[in-house]
Amino acid sequence: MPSIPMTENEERRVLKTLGLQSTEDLFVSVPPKIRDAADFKIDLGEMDDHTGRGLTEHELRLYFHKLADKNAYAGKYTHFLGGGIYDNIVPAIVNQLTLRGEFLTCYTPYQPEISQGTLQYIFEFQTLICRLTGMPIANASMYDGPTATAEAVLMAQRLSAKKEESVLIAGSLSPEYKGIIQTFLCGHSKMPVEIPWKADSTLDFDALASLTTEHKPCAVVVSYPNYFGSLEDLKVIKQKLPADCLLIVAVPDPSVLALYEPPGLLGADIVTGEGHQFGTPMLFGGPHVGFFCTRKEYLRQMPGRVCGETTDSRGQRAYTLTLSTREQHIRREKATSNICTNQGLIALRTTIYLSFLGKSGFLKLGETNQSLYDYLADALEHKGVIPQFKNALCYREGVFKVPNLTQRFKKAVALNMIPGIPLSKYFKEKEFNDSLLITVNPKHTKRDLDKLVEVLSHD
Amino acid sequence: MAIPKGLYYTKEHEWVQLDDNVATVGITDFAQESLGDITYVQLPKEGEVVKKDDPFGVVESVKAVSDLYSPVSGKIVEVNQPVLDAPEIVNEDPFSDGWMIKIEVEDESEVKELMSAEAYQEYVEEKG
Amino acid sequence: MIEQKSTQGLSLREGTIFDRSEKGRIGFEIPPLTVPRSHAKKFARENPAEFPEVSELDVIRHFTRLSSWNYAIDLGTFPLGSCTMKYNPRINEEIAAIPGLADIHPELPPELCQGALEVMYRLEKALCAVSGLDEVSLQPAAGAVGEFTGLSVIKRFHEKHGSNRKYVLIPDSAHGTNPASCSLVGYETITLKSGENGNVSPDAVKEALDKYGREVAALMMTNPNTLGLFESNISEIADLLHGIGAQLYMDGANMNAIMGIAKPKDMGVDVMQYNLHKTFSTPHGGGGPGAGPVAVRQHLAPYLPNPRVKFVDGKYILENLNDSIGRVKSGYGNFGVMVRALTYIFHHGSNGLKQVSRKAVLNANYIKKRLSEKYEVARNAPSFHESVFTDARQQKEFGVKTLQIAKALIDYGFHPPTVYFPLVVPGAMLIEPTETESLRELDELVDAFLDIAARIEKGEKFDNAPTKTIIGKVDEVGAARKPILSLDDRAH
Repeated sequence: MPSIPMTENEERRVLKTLGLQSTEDLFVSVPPKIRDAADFKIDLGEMDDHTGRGLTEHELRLYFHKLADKNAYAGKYTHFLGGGIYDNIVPAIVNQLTLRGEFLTCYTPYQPEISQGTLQYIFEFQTLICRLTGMPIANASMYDGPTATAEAVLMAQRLSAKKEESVLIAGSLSPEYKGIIQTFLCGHSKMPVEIPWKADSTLDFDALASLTTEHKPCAVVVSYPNYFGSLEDLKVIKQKLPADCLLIVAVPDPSVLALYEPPGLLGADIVTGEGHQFGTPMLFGGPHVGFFCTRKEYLRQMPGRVCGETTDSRGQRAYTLTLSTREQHIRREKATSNICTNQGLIALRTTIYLSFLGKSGFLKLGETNQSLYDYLADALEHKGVIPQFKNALCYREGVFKVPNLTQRFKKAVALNMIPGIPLSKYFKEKEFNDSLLITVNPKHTKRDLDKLVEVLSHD
Repeated sequence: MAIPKGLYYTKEHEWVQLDDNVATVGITDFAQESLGDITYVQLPKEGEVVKKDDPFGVVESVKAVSDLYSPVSGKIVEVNQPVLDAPEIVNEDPFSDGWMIKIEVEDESEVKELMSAEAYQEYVEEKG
Repeated sequence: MIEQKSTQGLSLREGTIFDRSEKGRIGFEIPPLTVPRSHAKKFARENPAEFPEVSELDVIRHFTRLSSWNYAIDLGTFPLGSCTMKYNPRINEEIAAIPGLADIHPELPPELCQGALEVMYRLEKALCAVSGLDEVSLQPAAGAVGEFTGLSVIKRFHEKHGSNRKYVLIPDSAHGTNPASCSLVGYETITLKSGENGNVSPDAVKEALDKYGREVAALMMTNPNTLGLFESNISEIADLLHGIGAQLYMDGANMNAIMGIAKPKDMGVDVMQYNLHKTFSTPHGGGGPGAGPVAVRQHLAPYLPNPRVKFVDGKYILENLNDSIGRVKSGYGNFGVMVRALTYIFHHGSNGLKQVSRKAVLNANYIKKRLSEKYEVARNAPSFHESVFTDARQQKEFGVKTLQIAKALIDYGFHPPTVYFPLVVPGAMLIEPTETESLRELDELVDAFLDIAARIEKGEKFDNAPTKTIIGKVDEVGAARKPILSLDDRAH
């Protein structure tokens, strides 16, 4: 086994040093009943030769490439999937740099003297995220967008002086975000109350007003854009909230902030979101990277790691993890969260990507997504595939009523195309029966879009 | 380690000075030394009402955090703003400039139940 | 003094990436538009995000320089106790990057992602085999989420059986995430004083159960515990808990010690979490990503997170359970981490995994034996994969503390051990060598420790250590008093 260097000779040498007859003597504290039953067998499937040995690198490649070929991956299928996870082009240097062992195989930077590389990129990540969202502070990242949003809700409840810790969430929030918030709240408060949407899929302000009066929530969660691709008027929403109710804005697709005003400038108190499309593949849903931003006055209630700039004993600029008294390893049951660390490597990918893409590249990314979508939406409508939400202002994705959806979906798959997410999976209302959430990404060309229109507009 | 006479002390290492019915509360020299360099102080707002033994604030150093417990019941009539902006004052001068809050005491006997300087000295030595 | 591994070399200074920015410089290029250009019709962003304007080489140089300031497993021994910093075989990275495993969207219909579902199914089965437990959910994104998930499952189980319990018992030697996870789930924690060897004593459990009775939902314990010792009484403790319907949660952070040596199920464990980034060698990456799968006994399986992967009639399918606690992570969890872990498991096979634990325990005991010459061993009982030393001798006679010893070790070219944890041992140094270190490397580490001890005896204090690193001691107090958390804070 290449990763276990100890030879038989060395094992004897160690045993001699320890004054033991056999390695088994080290396990005397395990009761015999447990010790005797401890054997196990890993099933290596078709590669198993029943000797108990592991596979060689060559065999591993054979096995996993075969598995990989069974998946409809982006290089083989043109897909129009989104809804929180977005395909994007990953620059070569992102992979090259993150594979450097000094980044890949280091630990959480508890020892600042030998972790300045990690600490400095975290500081740069925090800076990029602040500038992206228009918020004054960001943490060192969280597991993903939905869990970051759930943590935001918990933070709002901690900040709330009220005993009643109701939370309102937009009904147009992604089903995954909703589900995860519910799971996180399960422990200690009422389930969040959903705010309905209007005909254009944005928040119903009348309902918002009556629900805030009724529930006196400590926070309202909206998505920007929402799950149906529409942009909310955050400024108006903020104005309609009572002073002690926080506005939490989830940004599942932060490329929107290239073109649209960031939530930080529109009254958001906490901004969360998912950053994986900036340099990290879809990976079947993870590992990805959540970002978490808030106002300065709420700093001490923020969950997760933060990195700060300071100086060292030689008067040089230096970075360190700071404000760790909020965290589990010091505060234990009183910690702001049980989160132990950040998504170091994925935050690094994000930092490299956004730096490389740069100010003008970021604008182009947003423009590309918007332009591809607008072209597609027009072309679909022209062929009778109409948007479900009239007059919705959409960025990069939207919901369309596709006649005979099941059949046309199958036809698309046969042409190596996955046309979108059928929403009946998440929304049981009848109006979603033939609804398809269609998402564009920068890999698409006019030809891909034309082909999709062709497939979706005919039986 | 300083333990000024004439003040009252708690087991949570806070001191209380009673002037008429107003109690000034801070943390002791022992407390600031155990915490190390204090980086953050969080205090309640004026006008809030506290009960004896309830947490009313927090002091933090780099590696430790400690709740502040109210030694008496009453209304908070003044908060020491300067220590919020410059927590190092608590390290430098815990018994004077580094005070935390002033409480209008409901029941002065609560203060009298606290430790004297001598009793606190003994308590600290026993613990330490 | 022995020769130190650290030496002088060309380490380059570097500002932030923003310092390299030059107005108008183009970095990465998006493909040209093939459709008419459009723009925001409402809410248009007034001022663009001020990202840097840099070239490809700027980015390469910047991050390569940064990387050179990090210590990593690839550079040398990383004996950080309780973190299992083992070597990360590179075949794992290659496999995880295969486009068919990386460029897949979680919303693919199951019939179009059979390969990905097989990865998950096989990994679940492997984790069942090692623990002896019946079912596994791979969804939790990290060990702490695994704890949250396991405790939520326990809570749901009790609720479904009509009992609303309040407390979780946790020994004082536990990792800080344990009590934090309990709070998140809405349980109050009762701290159990651990016995002399850091062990949980059945008497302490009995006492707590007598006091809190059927209000106790579970006991959370780590086995081997944070002192590296096996909890020999665990079955007895499990029986006590089960007697009143409470559950035994095992923090599986230390599974690297017991694969093929003891199965959690045989110990009486009802639920546990794995840490794939520890036991199964997925890279720690400066703090993540990880993955914290949860394994349970059959009676808890109905409450695991949705969706579940099943193999029915030759096909992998996804299934939602009615009583599930719901979702704890988007998608299916950290799939990229699962691919690496399965690669590692298949690479080692049953035989290899069993060797992993045997060799990890041998290495830890070897270090313990050799270091005990100069350092106080915290507990004199057979160690598993890690052992705890203290600064008692150095502090008592020479006034040198654990922190200085740890910092001095850096100048010798090693990462320090975990210090001041577990909390129950004053001045603790927790050392976990892992099985991937050779005896030669371990000898060098021990020699460095012994050299430091010898120098302390000669009167050195190491107050300024480390001296050879690119930066000196960091002003952590200044960092916390006036936080500068982004470049835009600097001006103020």
